[in-house]
Amino acid sequence: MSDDEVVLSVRDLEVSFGTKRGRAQVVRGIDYDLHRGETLAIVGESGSGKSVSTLALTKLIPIPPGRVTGTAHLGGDLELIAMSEQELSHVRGRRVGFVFQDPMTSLNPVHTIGRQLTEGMRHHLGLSEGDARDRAVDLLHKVGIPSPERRLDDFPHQFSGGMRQRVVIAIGLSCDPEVLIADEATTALDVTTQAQITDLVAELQAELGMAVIWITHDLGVVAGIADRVLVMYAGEVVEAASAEALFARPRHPYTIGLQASLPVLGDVDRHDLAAIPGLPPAPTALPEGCGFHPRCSYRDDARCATERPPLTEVVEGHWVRSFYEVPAEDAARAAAASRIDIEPPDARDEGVA
Amino acid sequence: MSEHDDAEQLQAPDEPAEARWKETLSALFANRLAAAGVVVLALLILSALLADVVAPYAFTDDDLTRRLEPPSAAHWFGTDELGRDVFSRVLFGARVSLQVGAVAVGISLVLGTLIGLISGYRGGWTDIVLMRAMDVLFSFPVVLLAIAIVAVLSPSLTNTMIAIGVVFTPIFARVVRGSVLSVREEVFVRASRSLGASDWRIISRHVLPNVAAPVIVQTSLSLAFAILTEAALSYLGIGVQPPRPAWGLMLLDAQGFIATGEWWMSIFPGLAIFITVASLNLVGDGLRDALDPKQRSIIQSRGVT
Amino acid sequence: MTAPLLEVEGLTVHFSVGRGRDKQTVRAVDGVDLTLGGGETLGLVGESGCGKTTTGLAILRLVEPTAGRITFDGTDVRGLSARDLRRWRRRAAMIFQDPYASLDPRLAVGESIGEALDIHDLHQGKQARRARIGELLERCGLHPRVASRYPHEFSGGQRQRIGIARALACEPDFIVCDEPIAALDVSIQAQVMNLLGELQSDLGLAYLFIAHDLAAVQHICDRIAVMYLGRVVEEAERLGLYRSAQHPYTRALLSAIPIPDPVRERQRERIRLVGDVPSPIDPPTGCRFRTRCPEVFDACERIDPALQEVAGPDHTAACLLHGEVGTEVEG
Repeated sequence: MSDDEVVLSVRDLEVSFGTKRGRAQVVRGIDYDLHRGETLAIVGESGSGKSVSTLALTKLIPIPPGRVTGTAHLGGDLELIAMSEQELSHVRGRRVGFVFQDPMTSLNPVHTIGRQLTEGMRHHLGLSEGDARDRAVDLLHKVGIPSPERRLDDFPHQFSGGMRQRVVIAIGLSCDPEVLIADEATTALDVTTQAQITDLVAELQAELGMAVIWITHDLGVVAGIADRVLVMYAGEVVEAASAEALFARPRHPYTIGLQASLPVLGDVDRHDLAAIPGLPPAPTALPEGCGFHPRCSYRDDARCATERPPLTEVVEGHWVRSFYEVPAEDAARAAAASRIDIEPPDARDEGVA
Repeated sequence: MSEHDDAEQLQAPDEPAEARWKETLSALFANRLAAAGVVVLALLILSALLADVVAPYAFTDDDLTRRLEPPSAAHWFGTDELGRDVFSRVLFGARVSLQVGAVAVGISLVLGTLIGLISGYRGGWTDIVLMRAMDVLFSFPVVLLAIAIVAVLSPSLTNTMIAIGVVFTPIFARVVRGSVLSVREEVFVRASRSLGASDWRIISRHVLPNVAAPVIVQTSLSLAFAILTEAALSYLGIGVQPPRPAWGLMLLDAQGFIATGEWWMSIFPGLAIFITVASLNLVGDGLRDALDPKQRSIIQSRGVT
Repeated sequence: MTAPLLEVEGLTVHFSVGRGRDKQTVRAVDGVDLTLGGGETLGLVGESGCGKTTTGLAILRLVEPTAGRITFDGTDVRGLSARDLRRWRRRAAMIFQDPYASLDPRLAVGESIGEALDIHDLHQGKQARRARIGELLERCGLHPRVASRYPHEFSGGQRQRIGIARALACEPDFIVCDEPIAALDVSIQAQVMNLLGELQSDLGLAYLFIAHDLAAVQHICDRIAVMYLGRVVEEAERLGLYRSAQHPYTRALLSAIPIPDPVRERQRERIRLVGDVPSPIDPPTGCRFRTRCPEVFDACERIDPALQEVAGPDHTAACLLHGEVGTEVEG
């Protein structure tokens, strides 16, 4: 489904923050290409740098204390990292749209949603108020809000959580961005609402052809929507692959550990979960060598503790940052663990006695 | 999964619980401004206590031949319109001002905290009745209300303190009630209740320590206002009675001499009030931070410099 | 079967919001029956606002129930005086969702744990108290020496361990776990779930495990009750619920949970629920799920369905598709 056209090309992206305890390396050099119409999922836990790495692209982090280096080419021409604040204001919301985690706080409670929707279109696209309103109605209709003409003049608190997130998505899409960044966009929502929102984004993507970066900690969501996946840990990408390859054969010990630690619907025998011991490191106290080695059950020699492993292409299109190759059977076990799964009920199965 | 796998990242110093107040103190003194405030306050209190010994003259010693003299070796802060030594009067005035401040604010602190606690914790009708009563008190101008109270009780130092104490009570009651209302809803209060804690235990162990910060800040502000209110009452002749010196009284006495150039009469008592209020605020801020475990470890991680 | 440890019948919690003429009643919990045996785990799942947390709080009387009976090991919990209630709480503890808010920031964590001991006059004496606190911390995977540290020095997972240690302090028989892993990172969730499982098998604890994450609930629970708008709509043994969910809401919930497997996840057909959960101030008449139910029919408006046996003796659902069992709506 993805064209070959690269819409966003990120190289050597590093983000650090000055703190009282020295510089915190939050993102330690990540590279990726995002293609037109593609969904890239960035997975990680809190503190892995997954959110910061995308917020930093358009300087949505405080600078200083933040510092961003590297390059990010948007649409082949614009380099974002070196841009001034002034130039970036024409990129944010126009060419890169955002959907944040909490729909309650990402909407301004004192303005109507109509105003919040039309603001960007008038600023970026120079639409008249009337045109912008017409377009806002279309957008609300598109994201599934019933009777959009009437709801334009409502305030955010008059919408439910799921509806609010739909409004936020409409705002994110209002100027036809090339890239939509969804940062934990469904984390605050209930599962049935989450399903509605992920479906909605997929439909809109197919219709409008924008690329989506979906930031999440939920491997289940990733499996549902992603074309490609970056797994982040301690500020770096530890594994990058297509979604199919990643779930069929995870290769980094962290990814494997994460998959194996998930409780799975329908597991018959209730063994202890294979938890990853310990805690993720603080960005101010990153371990020497491999970022994951203190928690890694495969670490074998002194090398893991002293030398930072490079991100290497193990098989075509599958990149792993580890010295150690995890045996296929371990990976298979972890992958299978997430699949012990009796046929779940779905719409086709009436199942009523 | 091994035991302690999480704990390895925490190297805990093995310290007895009794050392905690020392920790608070050391955190207070690690804050240089607060430490300066403590030193200045200590000096003020000491000089107030030892005014008899330290002051070069008695506060009533007048010498009409040396009226309105500017500061000199004999009279460091100059003399007033009756030829009294301003330095000595500032020292003796510290007694009255600090006493009025401490006692009056003490009264309002105790009363206000009690009312605020009951009101915030009980809620419902108790809250409505108590808070309306406080609103009524609060709606009068502070000085006017104090005048009314003193007028009923007859003017004296004690009654001045009582009046100021009563007048300031609603401020504390409101501050405490507001904090109690938010602390009461905290999950850790519910957690404590789930363990079987009584109301008394919850209030003393969880609510009070957590409302301490705003109360301390309010105390340092109120002390300053109390000293100023005392000045106003004294000026109106219903506070401290002359010839006892009080800073406010001196300041107001000096009012007529500012235009004619006798600046020392107003500058020095004014400076005394300013220094007292400023150091109270510094100590208040420092205490607030030192009592908060989170702030405390930030202070300590910076190192005691 | 021996007598259950906990029996809840018709538990109801109504709150008033607004004043005077705007006064409205929120039916947070509206007639919930639950049974829990000693050493057993009952899961309570549902989406936000369904009343699951309020149910847990009401069972411990941390929120006063409006109606219903709570029987714990022969004791009528609602009949306890304030004093006896405090004493009873030694036997029934709670673990909270937010490990950041559930510990008093001004108390060293050892003191938070020790508070439970002081309240019930257990392990008193400096040495004994300290030893017990250390033992509890160790039991939960923390070093005894961290007792003198303050909550802000710990990570979320560590704080949750402290919360668990506090709940264990008085050797309860029963713990209400309110979303104990929801606020934790994925790799830490498994640690805490394992710890809870371990403690249960070592100490014979009974859990009421409240969560929205069905996969986690299913992993840790023996039986699961599904709540919607203040009611239990289905209850079954853990695998039974998954294999043959009978209530349309349970089916929708199950079908919405993402599975970490791209092939299956993309083939799966979801049951799409339309609209939002109605307000508990004014729940729909008859079946409360009827406004969103894909299988709604005319009786749903007329009859308020009761739980009835479906697909086996241990499996109940409140749905009229299984027979029109319930109470007629008046008017």
